[in-house]
Amino acid sequence: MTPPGTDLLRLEGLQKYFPIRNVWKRRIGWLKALDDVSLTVEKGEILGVVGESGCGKSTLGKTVMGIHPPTGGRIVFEGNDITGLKPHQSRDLRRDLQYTYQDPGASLDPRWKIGKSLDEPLVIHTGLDAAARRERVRDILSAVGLPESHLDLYPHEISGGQQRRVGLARILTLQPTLVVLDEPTSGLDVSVQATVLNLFLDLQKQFDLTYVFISHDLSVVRMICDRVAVMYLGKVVELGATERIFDAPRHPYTRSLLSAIPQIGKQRITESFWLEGEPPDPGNLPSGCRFRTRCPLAEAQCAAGIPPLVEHLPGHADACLFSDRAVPGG
Amino acid sequence: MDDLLTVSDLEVGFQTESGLARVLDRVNFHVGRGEIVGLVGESGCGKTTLARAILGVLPENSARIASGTIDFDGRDLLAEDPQDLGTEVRGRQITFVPQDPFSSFNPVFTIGAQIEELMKWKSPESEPAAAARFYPRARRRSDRARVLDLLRTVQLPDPDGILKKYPHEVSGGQRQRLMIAMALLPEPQLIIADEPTTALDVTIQAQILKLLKRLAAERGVSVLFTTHDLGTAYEICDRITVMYAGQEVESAPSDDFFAAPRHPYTKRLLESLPSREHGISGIPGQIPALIDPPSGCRFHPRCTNASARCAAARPGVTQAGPAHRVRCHHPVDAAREAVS
Repeated sequence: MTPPGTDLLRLEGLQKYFPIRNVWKRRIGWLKALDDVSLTVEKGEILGVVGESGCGKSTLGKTVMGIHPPTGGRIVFEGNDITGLKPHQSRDLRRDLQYTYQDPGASLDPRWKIGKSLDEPLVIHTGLDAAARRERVRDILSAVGLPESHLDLYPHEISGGQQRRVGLARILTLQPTLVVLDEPTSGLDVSVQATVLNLFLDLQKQFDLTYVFISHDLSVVRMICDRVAVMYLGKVVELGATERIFDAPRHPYTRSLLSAIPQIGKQRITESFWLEGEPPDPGNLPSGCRFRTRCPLAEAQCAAGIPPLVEHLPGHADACLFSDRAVPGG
Repeated sequence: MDDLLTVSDLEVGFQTESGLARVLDRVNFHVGRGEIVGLVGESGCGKTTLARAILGVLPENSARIASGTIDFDGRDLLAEDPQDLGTEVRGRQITFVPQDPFSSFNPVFTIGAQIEELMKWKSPESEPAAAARFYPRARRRSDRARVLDLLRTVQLPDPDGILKKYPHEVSGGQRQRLMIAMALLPEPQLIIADEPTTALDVTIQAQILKLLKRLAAERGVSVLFTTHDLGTAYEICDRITVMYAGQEVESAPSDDFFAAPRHPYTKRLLESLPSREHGISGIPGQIPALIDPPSGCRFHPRCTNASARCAAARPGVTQAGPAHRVRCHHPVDAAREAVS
């Protein structure tokens, strides 16, 4: 069962459905936040997961972490199936798998000093004594570029960029192998964002980390990710090397997403953008391909069945029947 | 005198527990007729405070306007009776598109009821001075036609149906379209859009920017567009003004601005956008605390070109080209940079 190669994390047909209930709490449908998602994360790489809000990218991160139990499919981490294990059974495995929340300010306890917040994971996961824990916390704190005096501050006394650093330090104390970064740069100013991104890259080298980088900011993803998975309404629609996806996107959704990024010095998107409409209601999805209601290439075939994610080019997969065609006006 | 709005030497502070935070430091700023002006800066640079000062909605008990004037179409917005400005200017001549369309609607009333309330007071047909206690049936009917017409213009599907919905029933992009429609309904001369696309996805952002740009051009409305994102400023602005820690540092027509930035801060800001050429580079240091800001040019502690002069006095305006103004003692010379 254990695959050859260096897959650190493997998702096989992962599903997460949330029930939609009416006022009498009777289930009237499913919200398919993740539908049949299969991908692998190789050791040492940075995998970007991009998509618009509501596409299921955060649900993906949280389901991998076990915060949401999956509805179906398998999560294989370091060769062990961790799907549906009870928290106490998977605790040792999950130590190597860590997650940073979108809003670090909200994930730090406002009444705890930074030092206590950093100490807590070590108390839970390791049997180190107080002195050894203090030692470890100090090492990590200097690695993320914070002065030791910050240990005695409260979360509200430090800036947003520093809170991100604390959030990162907090998970690095456990020396994980895979870190899921959920929107790690949202809400930061560009000049601060750059320093935080550089920190991620430095720490990756220093601690030999693998990242799953969940973001809606495509220009950031382009800069730091090795491979990118593009999601639309719970499905991965395109998966491949960053360069390939950004230079020659194949799925019409990816093409529209890329053409929506303002690029200074290039043609203005207010003159060239072609995609109309908004994503459909995730509780009431169209049949077949989920993008067909907005897609300029859509034909009758698209409504018949969900197009599978196929490698049309080596190492570059997309889920579109007509991805070889040019988009009119695009 | 063809500027619609002129802000001169505006100085605004906020009284806080630890002292007076000097949020705007003698800001000069202007918006021409029919022009889309971008006000760009990082968080805490005072762009929202400036927008609020123009609207006249600064918090009364903490804000202190120390000096300066705001001239709008020949009226001094700081000197005139707030009551008159409230009925004649605010919401009629100057309207507002908020950053967060989610919290700008009242969740317990239908969208139609909220737009009707707006039209009752601020419709271009209503008498500004008359107390709008009555809403004449004829005007109500013509206002409704006007509303439906504008909802169609902002490309909302099924305008009749949308008016019957509650705010939570429409998507974020549609809510922002409604906000733009509501800002245009009183037929204003100036729209202040405070980061109108920050909360939206990129594809929706592209649609909204396109819409705003088209409508502003069609109706000859000036737009003051505040944003922290230089990319969106590039998309729709005719002219861009950059602020840093409460001081405006550079103002230039859009093309000139991106091609040849002259202020060191502007240059570093443009370079910190993730891109192939520059990689990932930030600006070392932090935004200063406004309680005790650096003297002179507030950027000097982080600036690589800084000298003793920068700490001593705030630089005056240097004309760096037609309509290109920079406030720096040592502006970046684009031509010399290219050679070295």
